[in-house]
Amino acid sequence: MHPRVHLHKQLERGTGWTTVRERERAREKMRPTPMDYFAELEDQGTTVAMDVDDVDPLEIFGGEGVLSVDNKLADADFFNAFEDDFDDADIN
Amino acid sequence: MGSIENLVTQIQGLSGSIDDIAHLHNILKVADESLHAEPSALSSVLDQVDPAKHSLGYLYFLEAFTSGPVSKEQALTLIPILARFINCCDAQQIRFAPDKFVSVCKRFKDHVLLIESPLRGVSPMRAAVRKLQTTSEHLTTLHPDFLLLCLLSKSYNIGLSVLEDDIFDVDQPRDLFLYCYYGGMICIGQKRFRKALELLHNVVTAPMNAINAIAVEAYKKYILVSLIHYGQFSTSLPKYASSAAQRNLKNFCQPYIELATTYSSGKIAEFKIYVDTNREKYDNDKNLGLVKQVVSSMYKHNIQRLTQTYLTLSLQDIANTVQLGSPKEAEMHVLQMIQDGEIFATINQKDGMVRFLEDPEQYKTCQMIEHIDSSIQRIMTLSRKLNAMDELMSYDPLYLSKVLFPQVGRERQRFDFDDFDTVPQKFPI
Repeated sequence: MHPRVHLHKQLERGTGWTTVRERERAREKMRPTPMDYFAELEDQGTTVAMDVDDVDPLEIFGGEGVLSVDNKLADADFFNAFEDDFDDADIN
Repeated sequence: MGSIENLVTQIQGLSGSIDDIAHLHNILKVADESLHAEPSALSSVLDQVDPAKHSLGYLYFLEAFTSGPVSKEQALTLIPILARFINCCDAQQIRFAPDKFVSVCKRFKDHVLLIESPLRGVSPMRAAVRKLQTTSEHLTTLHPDFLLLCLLSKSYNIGLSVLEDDIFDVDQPRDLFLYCYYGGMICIGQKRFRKALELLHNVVTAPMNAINAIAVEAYKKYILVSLIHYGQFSTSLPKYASSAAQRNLKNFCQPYIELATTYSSGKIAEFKIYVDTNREKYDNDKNLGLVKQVVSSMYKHNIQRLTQTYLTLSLQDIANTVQLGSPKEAEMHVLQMIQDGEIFATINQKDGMVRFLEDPEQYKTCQMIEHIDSSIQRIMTLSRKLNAMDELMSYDPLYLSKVLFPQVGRERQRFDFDDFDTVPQKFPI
């Protein structure tokens, strides 16, 4: 590629070369709608697509320290005193 | 006693039409307190009322008569009375007083557990579930009790019959947690691992404000069954899992997460060492049997991986690669996998060579077409159901208030570019 053309393309992509229209378009993309905000909330029940999310939500808060682990378990008194019946060796 | 005799007369006279039963129900509600005042006086009265024809009246008497703690001997006497009532009562009548029916059934469950005979409770509880349900899509509070008895009595097949129903209507969240957890265990017992994963997944991803003990136990089993069935496990929870689960579940299941990490290396010797080191933890959770199945599954998944690389392989090579003791052991594993439909292969016993084959399924048999057709019908029904639920939800005042009216009293302009905050805001519930 001709060096001059290459430099021109770099400048086009560089941060100092955005036009007013491009700046407004960027603002529009970043301005959230009410539904966009709501889509971020973990309590959004059935309308969220059932995709596996690889991003750990805690990362948004910069890792541990902001939210403490809740050590109290709800329904801790539920019946779970079953024998271990899933050992195939017992069957054989 | 005179008032009870009057009540018996009214029960006998007003158990015909729906209107009569509704009127009777009002009378019984008023009399309920006096019935509880002298429960022992009711034992003779029960014989004067037919549990099949006068189900509502009998229910009120029975519920009052069986209230209070009982000894083992008393339980032995009460169990046949309760079982008979549950089996022959009229569903239409008992639905006038579902709470009382549930009380009676739960006491019945407690009594069979007290005498350590859960099998005696399985059939009546199944009947109770069917009578209490308004439709087959309705999850009642008796479902978990029924599955619990199936698990304790090892009647997995009977439990499966109820698990085949698709549930869309839940009374209490706790019922759903227990139903799916116990249901997952029943499916594990029947080696219906895919169905087990589906049920356990429902527990783990169900809405919860605080981390739930049932979800923790379900997650442990979910990890193990995922390794058995798929040979792999991902720690990522889906987006729709609650924040309580996203934050805390892994912390309560570390030995299982680490087990999955060790499993992913594919090295059986290392994996077995890890299992032996942490044996006590799995044993305490009553999951050691399932962990042993995970160990066995490693051989199976390692053999399955070979089919993706080789067309033929000797039994000796399979044994060496998969770290089995001998070619004979390799042959046993391969044979079992062929029988279970997990691989397609033939073994030439003369030269000890295994030839891996393609899946012969052409998807054009009548059976396969029927299967595909029924799956399509099921998906279409599910889609219609989801659309209807979505439409209902769009009218729900609570949902609308959260969507249309954000947090009240908030002064900061949320949609100004300069104030834009990358940290998501939480709405108070």
